Amino acid sequence: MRPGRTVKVLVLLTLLAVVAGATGLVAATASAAVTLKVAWMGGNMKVYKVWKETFEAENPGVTVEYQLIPYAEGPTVYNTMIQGGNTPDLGYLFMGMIPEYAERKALVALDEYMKPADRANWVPAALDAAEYRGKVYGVPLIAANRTLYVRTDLMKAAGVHEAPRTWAQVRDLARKMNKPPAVQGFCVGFGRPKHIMQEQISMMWGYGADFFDKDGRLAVNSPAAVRYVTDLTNMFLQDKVMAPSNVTMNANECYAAMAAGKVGMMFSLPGQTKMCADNKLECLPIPNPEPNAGGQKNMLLIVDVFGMFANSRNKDLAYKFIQFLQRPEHRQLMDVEFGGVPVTMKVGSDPYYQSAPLKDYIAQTSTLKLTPKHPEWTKIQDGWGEAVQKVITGDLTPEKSLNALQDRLMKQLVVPSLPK
Amino acid sequence: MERRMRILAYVLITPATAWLLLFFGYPILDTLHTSLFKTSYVGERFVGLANYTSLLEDDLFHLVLTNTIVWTLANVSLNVVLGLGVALLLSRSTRLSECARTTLILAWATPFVVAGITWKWIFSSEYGHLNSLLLSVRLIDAPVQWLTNAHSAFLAALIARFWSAFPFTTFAFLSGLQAIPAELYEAALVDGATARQRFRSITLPLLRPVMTAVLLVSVIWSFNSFAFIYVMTAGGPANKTQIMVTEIFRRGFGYFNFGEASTLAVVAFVFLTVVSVIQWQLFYREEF
Repeated sequence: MRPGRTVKVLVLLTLLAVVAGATGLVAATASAAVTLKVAWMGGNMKVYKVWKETFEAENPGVTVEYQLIPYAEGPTVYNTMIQGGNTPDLGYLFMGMIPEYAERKALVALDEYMKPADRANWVPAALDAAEYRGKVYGVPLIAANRTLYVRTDLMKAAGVHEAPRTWAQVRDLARKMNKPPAVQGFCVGFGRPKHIMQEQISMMWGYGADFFDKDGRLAVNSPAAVRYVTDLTNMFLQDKVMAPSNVTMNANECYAAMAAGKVGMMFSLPGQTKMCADNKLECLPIPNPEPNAGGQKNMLLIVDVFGMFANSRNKDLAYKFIQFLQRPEHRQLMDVEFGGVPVTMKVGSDPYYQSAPLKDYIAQTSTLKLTPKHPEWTKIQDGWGEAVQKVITGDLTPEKSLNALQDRLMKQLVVPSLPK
Repeated sequence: MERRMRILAYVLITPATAWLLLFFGYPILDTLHTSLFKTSYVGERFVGLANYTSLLEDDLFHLVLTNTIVWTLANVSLNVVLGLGVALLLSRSTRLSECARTTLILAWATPFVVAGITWKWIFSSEYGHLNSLLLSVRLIDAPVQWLTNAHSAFLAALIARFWSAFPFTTFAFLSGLQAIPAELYEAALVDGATARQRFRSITLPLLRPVMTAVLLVSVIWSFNSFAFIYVMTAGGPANKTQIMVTEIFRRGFGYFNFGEASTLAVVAFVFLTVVSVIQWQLFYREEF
């Protein structure tokens, strides 16, 4: 081979090698690019954008893709995703979804990812919301418990100077503040079955009623449950302290009604204080009243959970995102924007959480209680709500409605008791 | 040559047949199959016809079926009677009728969900335009709870659905009316026929093919009308406005109970098939 030809061949080979190398680099870069899919329920919060930008900056090659799901459509959308095998890597879930999705093996148990230090940083009661049968299927995202709120000016105008201490006093105060149509004494979002359960369950516990008895058997028609539903619905039917439109309203509409000055008292979340203050009204959270005989003084611990789906192809990266959200600065961003109570130990000591109204919620921590962990909880909760609806629409008496619910659930539920 | 033509014919209908089998035949068979299983979080269990027999004792199913029949009948009646009436008014070509036709197209073109949300606000007891209007002209003293009471909620959803659906019926009848030769009416006028006689002896018989099609699709579309009930009442209060399709959706995607949801879907399918066949038999004539 002549030298000139040899040089040409070498140059050609070198060029080919460069092209091949560049192509490989591009391919390698392309393969390193990962998209982390996250589904959020509720509104498009500002904090989501901050998290996405910060996480992507800290993890070159990673794109965080969001999907927003309205709260009301959450269960339906997730069920469709699971059925179609098209789940995101991570999802914002209601705590009531955990048992069902865990049983359906749609979620990853995070125990193998969670280091002891990670676990210790979550408020135990909040982390318990994501636990099912000894495994942790998510981490707490937002906690927004419900307690009674009262319009202090209306209370004083009604001649009452102390917050009600019993459930009978709650009903009495609602009657005294009731000046329809300008102001209603009380508000319940009867239109959405889940909200009937969620907002009012502290009152239900106060009457000694619960969805399951102490042995874990379904007990929606217990005498205590009948007494509770009778009193609650009589506030609507007899006392008329709730607007007729409560039949179709949901809890969010009740919050707005109180912030607009149309409601004297109701159960609400910490954000209610600010909502009222924006309209120059003083709405204060008050401790749950003492229970009736046989009842319990409990505040519902409501925790929305962040879970990892079993179909995720980026489990390590997904857990990295969970750890990222656990940082105090990220937690506080979320809590401030949403108005939530702390779910991690590190932020709990921050002055923000020691101010009203959060301190009033935190003061009730010892009374926190979760809803039952049952894989068909949605069915039970919706059935309960519909049973109450049938009473307020005058179709059935509390006893008949709850007996019918008990019979129906006994037939419909795969296991009509709490899983051991 | 004939054989080649036959082969070509088979080749030509193959894509359509494959489409029908894949997107209609398979889902129907799969739904039928799923209806024989009890589905839950623990998986599927074959139960034979138990899902069907349990419907007989299911009070909610009886309520939903009754609601669906009332909903369908009311929708179809309103659509056909008023749709035909409006079509007769618009069949004369005037500036007003041209304008009305354009307006009707706007109602028809509005997506159902958007229309449903808009109507929900119109009927809102607290902030709704309807109550505001009625209060301002002093027809009512206090806001009416349109969506709170089962009957008025049903009526509200019915009005909203009618608003969205009747333009189609109107245009269908309008096209049928315009296809009737004007000479027939002229001849009838010469013979001294009254307007009522002309309508009964010319318009109605010659509209029969359109009527058949309109009735058929109106029944099917009304029965399967999901958006207005879902958006405006979500089936409430206490399931009193729940209809078959919203209940199928609730059981399937709300509670993951695809066995029961499929059973309801099969019942709906059979019901619609029977009604469609009866309608076809009643209205079919050899000239159509």
